[in-house]
Amino acid sequence: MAGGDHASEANDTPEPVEKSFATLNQLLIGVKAFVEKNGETRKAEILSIKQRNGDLTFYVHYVEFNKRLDEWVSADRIDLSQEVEWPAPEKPEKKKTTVTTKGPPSKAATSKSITTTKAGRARTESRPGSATPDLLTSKAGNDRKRPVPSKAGGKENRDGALAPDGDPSAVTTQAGTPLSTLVHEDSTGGVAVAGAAEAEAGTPDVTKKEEKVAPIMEPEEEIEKLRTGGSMVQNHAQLHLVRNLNKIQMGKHIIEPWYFSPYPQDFADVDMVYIDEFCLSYFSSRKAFERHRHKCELRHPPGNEIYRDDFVSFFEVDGRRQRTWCRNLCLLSKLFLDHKTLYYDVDPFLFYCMVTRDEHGCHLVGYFSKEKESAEGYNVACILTLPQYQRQGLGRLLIAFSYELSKREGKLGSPEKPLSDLGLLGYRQYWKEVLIELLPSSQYSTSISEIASLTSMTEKDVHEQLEVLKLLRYHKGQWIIVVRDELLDWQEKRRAKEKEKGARRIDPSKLQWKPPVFTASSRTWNW
Amino acid sequence: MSRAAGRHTRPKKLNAKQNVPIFREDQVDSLVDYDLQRAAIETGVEKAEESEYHLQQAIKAAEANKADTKPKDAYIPTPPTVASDIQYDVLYPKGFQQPATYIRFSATVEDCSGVAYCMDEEDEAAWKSMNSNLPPGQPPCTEDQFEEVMNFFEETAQAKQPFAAVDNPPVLPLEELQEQFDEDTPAHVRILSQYVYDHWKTRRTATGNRPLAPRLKFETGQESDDSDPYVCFRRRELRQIRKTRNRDAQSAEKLRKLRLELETARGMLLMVKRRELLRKECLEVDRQLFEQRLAFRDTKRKLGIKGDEELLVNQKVNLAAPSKRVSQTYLAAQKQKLPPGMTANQAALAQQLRMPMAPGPGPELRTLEDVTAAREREIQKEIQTNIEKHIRWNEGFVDKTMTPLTPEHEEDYPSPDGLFREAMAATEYLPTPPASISDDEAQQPREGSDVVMKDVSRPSTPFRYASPGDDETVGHMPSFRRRMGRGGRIMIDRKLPRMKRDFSGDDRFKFDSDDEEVRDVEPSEESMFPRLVQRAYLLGNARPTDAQAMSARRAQLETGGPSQSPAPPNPQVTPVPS
Repeated sequence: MAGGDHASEANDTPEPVEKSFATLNQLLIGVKAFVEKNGETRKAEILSIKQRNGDLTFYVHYVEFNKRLDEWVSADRIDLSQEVEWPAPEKPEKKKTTVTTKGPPSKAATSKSITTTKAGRARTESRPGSATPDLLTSKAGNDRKRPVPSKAGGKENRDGALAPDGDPSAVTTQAGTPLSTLVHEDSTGGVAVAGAAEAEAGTPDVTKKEEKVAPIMEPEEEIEKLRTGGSMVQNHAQLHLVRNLNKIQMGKHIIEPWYFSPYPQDFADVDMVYIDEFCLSYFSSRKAFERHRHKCELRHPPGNEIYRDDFVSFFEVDGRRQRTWCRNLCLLSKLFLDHKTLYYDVDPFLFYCMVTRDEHGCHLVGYFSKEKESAEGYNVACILTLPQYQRQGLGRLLIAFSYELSKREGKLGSPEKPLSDLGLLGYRQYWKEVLIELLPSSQYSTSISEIASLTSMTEKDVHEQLEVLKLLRYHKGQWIIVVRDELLDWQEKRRAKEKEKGARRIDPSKLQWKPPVFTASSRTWNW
Repeated sequence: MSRAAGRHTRPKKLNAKQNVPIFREDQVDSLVDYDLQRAAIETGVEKAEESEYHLQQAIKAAEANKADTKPKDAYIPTPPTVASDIQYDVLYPKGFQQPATYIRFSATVEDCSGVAYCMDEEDEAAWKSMNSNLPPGQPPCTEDQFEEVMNFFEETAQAKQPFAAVDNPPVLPLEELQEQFDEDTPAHVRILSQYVYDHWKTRRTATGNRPLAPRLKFETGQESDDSDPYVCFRRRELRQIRKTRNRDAQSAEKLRKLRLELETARGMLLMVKRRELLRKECLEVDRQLFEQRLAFRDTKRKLGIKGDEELLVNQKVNLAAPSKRVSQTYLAAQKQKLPPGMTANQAALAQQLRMPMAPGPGPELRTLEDVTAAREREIQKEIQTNIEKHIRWNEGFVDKTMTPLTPEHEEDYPSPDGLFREAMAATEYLPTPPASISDDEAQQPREGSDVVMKDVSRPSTPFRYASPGDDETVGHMPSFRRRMGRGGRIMIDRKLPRMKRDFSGDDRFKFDSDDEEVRDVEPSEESMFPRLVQRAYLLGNARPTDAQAMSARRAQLETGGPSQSPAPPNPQVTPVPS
């Protein structure tokens, strides 16, 4: 949609989403169809289509579900008894370009039909070189945009001018040759890579046009932001890639990845990727993994232990000193963090890794990274409890520890945005506990800045959470905090539960840590 | 306040510093319902994801008042995690021991994972077939060795063709790889390289001469980097280069200096090592020489052969007229007997400086006892002559001093005693003088007489001492005199009543020391003489240090003593005419 159809689309925009019945072979990337999920049918958008041994499989994103639930579905799960929504039409040229980059085999002959179908994808393709093996990548930007086709924000329209001829008629051609867009995978499944290479080499002229398409957020802007700090992206062009790993084997667990992570490209072809639990090295071959395990001596994160209690330890690992390990960690965590970016290297971050110990070694259960110097006062960049250890209250420990570090630094801090859904819930839960713990014990009055200094939360976070919890009231011309009974009940229950199960908390006296100081030369030269 | 009114008055913005009272719910009457019109609170979640179904359900659940109103799907589903059937205990052996202190660790992953190359299934097959085809006599290659060879190939190729991934050069031939062997290359890698090479080459060719291990995509500087989601971990082009230039130069300078210093240290260590090796060699040769001489001597004894005794010790070298034999021994000695750490010249010199051998056959061997006895005799003789000399010097010397070892004062000096006046009765009750002033100081008759002690280390040098004056009167009152010193200083000397001494326990003189306590008993007149004799004797025996201490004490008394004395500024002390 990115497109700047605006000249032609001015008229089209109000146009409702086009719906009609489709056959399996007519399904295109960008089409929204109903797909059976857990016994119910949900609307889902097709992000990629593969043909293996003659059968089509579709990579779908369920509307209103998180991307981590995206999955490959076989054709029989698509409910074709209901109408499908066709992607909004777009300029023919743009489509063409996008198509060509994706599926080189089909480019010349089918270009016309293809272009129409792809309209939505233009944005994702906007990066000229996108050699992404998965067809889906192009998809990325679209689905967000799609609902607001031509009217979308000013940014998008900006480019519209560049697109010379908006041809509304293109829409009609859509249905024509749907299959042409598909990449026909040969038995080895290597097609995607080949296609990408071809796109670069063979069709440079086509791709040029794409460059003009404006991204949702200027990528240069975002990249500049990333360069100077932070580790989270909001740029959709960076997102919405098809998951590239099938399964990973780590420690005693087999884990299904949630998102794309830039592991070596060949890994997309294997069923299982083996990850060493201690050094986090990755292997596509079981034999190689076993050989590596035979030699590897690492038993804990390669840094200094700064906290130890009966249950967990924390290690501080410097991204500059432990580049390989930290890169491995980032690759791993990218599998579970949608907005994490690996665009830039790990140097400016410290990694605080939480481990549990047994006679095998220290098992990483979660970590958070933190900028050595955060211009925006973030005390956490990325935070993750590994999926195999989730739902055990470990995330709360991680969050508590990050605030413990802030207290030791004498600073207020807040996690870098955007938060993921799970991140938001985790943080809200922690904030709620902390605030409810604190408020009734403070005597008669307090102030937001006092709460902030006691908890190391930023004043903004404190204020917002007071609002979220509906504690702040405006009463008779002044602000008051009303501790609702319901929250006190909640706290009672929680305490009772903790008593029963044993509470896991961070004990500040066991933290042996001074805020590290990085001079200019230590940042540059590691002295 | 009614609700409507509440809506109309817009709440003031809450200042962070502002005091906010805290109430329980029951403490507030007529609680206004939460104002829904307030701006929605930012969740911090990506806008497009905020509306996701599961998140919304979860948020609603968190806000729900009662458990029963909570929505059902109040959790966020995630892809499943299942237990693996992998042989965990084999792959991850036990045996991790947690240290008592917090772990501090700086080794990197590369440091900890041994040979970087890990063979995969394809390698394994090749490895097996290679082992079965090895020529007889060649021990089979282990997996570790196979990996070492592969690793060597990979690393060498990477070093020689760093841009193989881009410009696709041909796979390196074996000879070129083998040229890169250095001293650290283990023997099995050298040997096995020829057998492994074909497999390596096949694999490299198949992958377009790219490294075999799966690799991340890093930036290549091409346009396509930007949009390739696989390209990761780009360098952050650090700040403007200009700004860092000066610091870079400094840092580079520091590095150069550091390197230079390290090189120097390394050079020194190498030299030390060489020196120590030479020393060791030298010692071994010495020992060998010694043993051979021993054998030589035994043989000589057994066979009764005389002569050639000079071969048993290192000979002095006569450089001026080297006979053939001497020069031979010299050479031998130089070769064999270089003392550690010496150059040949130094050694030769040292040998020359040794005590000359008694000439003639069979060097005279003296025992240590003989030598020391002779030296002892020498010393005794010297002492004896000295004693005699001293006796001669002291002939006719009469010491007329009242107290021992002090020369008699001249007659034209007025007797200092004459100037002393006894304190008046009023002063009788003055406090006793401090204990630090002993009686012999008190009776020191004159000032400025520094006693020059004789050499007291010898016993029994016959002196005759003058007997103390019989007429000496010992006052029972302390006496004082006043003197005018240089610059008009007024000094008051004091003379305290003589104390009685008890000589019954003579032992106490053994511990004679500066802070001898004041005796409270007056010495009787009769005991004075023997006592002085005794003192003289003892002083003669005393060690010089005692004597020095005593003289120092006297000196102190003369200068500081008077002012320390407890003499009151008594108007009855008449000034002495000067």
